Amino acid sequence: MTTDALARLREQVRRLERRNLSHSHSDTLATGHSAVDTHLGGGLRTGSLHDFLISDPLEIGASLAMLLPILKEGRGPVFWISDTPAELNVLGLHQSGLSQDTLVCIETDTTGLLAVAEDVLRGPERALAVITGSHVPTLKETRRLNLTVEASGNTGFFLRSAPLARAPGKDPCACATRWRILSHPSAPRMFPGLAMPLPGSRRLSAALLRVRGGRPAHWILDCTDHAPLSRSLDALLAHRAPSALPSGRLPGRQAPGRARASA
Amino acid sequence: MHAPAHNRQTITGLSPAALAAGLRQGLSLAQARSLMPDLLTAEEDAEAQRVALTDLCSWLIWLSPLPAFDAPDGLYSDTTGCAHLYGGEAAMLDLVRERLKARGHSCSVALSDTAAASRALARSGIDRICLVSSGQQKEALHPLPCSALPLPEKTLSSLTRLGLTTIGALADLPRAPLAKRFGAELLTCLDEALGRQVRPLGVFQPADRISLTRSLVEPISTPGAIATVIAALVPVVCEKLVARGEGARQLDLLCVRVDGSIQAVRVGTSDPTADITRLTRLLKEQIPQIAPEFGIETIILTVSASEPLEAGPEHSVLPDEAGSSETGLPASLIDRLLNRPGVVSVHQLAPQFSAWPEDGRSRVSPGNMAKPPFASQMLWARPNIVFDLPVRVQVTALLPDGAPRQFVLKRQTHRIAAADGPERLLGEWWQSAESYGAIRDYWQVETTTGLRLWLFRKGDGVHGWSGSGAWFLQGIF
Repeated sequence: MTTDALARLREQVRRLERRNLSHSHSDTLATGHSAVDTHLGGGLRTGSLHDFLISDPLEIGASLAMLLPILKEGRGPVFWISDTPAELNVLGLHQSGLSQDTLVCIETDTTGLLAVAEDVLRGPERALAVITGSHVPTLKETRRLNLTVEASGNTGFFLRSAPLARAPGKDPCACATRWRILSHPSAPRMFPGLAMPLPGSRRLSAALLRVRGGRPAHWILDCTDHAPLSRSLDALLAHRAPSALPSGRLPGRQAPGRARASA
Repeated sequence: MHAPAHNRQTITGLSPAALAAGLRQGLSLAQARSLMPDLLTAEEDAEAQRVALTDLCSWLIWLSPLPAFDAPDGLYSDTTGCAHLYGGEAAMLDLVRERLKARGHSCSVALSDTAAASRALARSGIDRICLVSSGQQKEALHPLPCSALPLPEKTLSSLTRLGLTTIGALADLPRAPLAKRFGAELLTCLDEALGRQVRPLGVFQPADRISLTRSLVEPISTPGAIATVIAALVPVVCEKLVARGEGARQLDLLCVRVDGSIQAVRVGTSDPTADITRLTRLLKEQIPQIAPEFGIETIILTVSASEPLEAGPEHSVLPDEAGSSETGLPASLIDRLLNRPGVVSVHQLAPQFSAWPEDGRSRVSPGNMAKPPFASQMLWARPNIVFDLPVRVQVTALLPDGAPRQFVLKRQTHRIAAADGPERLLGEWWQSAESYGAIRDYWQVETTTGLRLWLFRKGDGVHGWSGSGAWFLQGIF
């Protein structure tokens, strides 16, 4: 009798904790920044929603620099859901490591955006969804989406424009994390002979505004490029190599060796 | 038309003009050419002919449900009990000929008690109608040549040598010597033509659409009831599809309302499928589109497009590991999205090589992506976001052809801390006059606040013909 009661209690507790869901072992998607990953316990949790606030249209690049490695880590098809045509550039995404084979763009009308997102996230297929658009989801809508992703184990990312002055990001939300990522000036690399310094490796000012079961934090992140070369090495070496000849003089016929070296 | 036979080219088909000029079937091509030096010939394509005949046979099903082949150029149709539908036998034959003429065929139509007699009558003349009333086929066949019967060449030639040129002469002879001389085959042919013996027709069954009709006892109007009907129809359709080895690409669900109007719903799939759950889910999601009004009394489910089902890689029984499902898009999810109301487009982005970056992408349907080579364009970094319409900015630069130092966008001044460039792109001079000689110098810049942007200047800053020298913002890294 006692064991029966205990088992019943355990069952109740498990239902409260929502551990009866199929993907109870929640996975994480590493962001690639060790400080962030240790703070979050491995990275962004799958089976939840993450909210990225963009304070200025020009700042979207910073959020993408954070988001694209995470999407690549997800290793599933990525659905880019927006109510306007996506201005994504395939060549740039390829350089960022996101294959164009796994990216599917979905364009919806304004009212159907979240409904389509729910359809994608409901599964049973594995999917990562990036929901962009000007629409500010209400608490009810995000809760509904959150229930969906909890049941399916898929992960959703909001990428929405929220100017700093109007939306400080304090409003309640059912997302697991909320970020505001801004660009931060990098350390320019000076080279002799150049009029302007070259941009250094990219630096982000990442503010974790809220996280479920954790403390907000702020980091200055360096995005070092550890990705394997996207192009062949000889092309890289030949690209912008200093000219072997002074400018204004065409290579003569007597210098086959040099011509080969610069080819 | 000619085809190789016995080591030489023989004529197998003729146009009316060639017939009028005196050419006949079975002539060798060389001889025909010597008779008609400007003869236009084409080699026979047996496969195409067979396909065309199959096509015609499926078409003939309007006449009666039992069409059959008479290869290579004939068709049977068992019209027993069908003539009254067309107003009598003569009217029916006229109609057949008229409709075949409308399709561009010249034909000869014959109707009699037996299939073999009709065949002989039809083949003994071109472009005519022959109607033999019941029991009269012996008289009708009497004057016809023996070649109208399906006899081998050797038998025909020996019959001709014996002077037996008509079927009537053959039929009048005593049977025993004929059988002894020519074998049982000749007598069988003769008996079939005269109706003494019956040979069944190999009836052709045209591959029609799979269509299921469910008439309901009472009109339904609730989503649940419609879903029940769909759930009952889809397994039967899938079973039929599997039996044919095909998968549906397009399904039509027609709901006939009580007032006789039809509510139609169409769903498409991205690959041929006969999966019950997938098709059921696709159809059930369309239920809100149906307006039952006073009720639906009949539901018809039609497979309007199907394709052979590819035997894809077998799904393993074991649950696949974390990394194994990387490749491949979920086809069923994309189907659902494509058929969903509210979705404007579902596409993938494919790189396209063009001079200007704003043209450098194309939309392809999901799963249709070819492997593109990322070649020379990848030497410079490319931004993640590219505007289709570059935004005009006011740039201050030290030199007209030098690096930008600051720019004004929407009345806000951004100072540039670092810049990389220029990357010079040349217009597609072979396309249009204005891109001839056009130059753009692209700079990857970082502002003092850390924004990384992609600016370009029209022209090289020196020569007026290469561009105006105006600056634009095109992308965000």
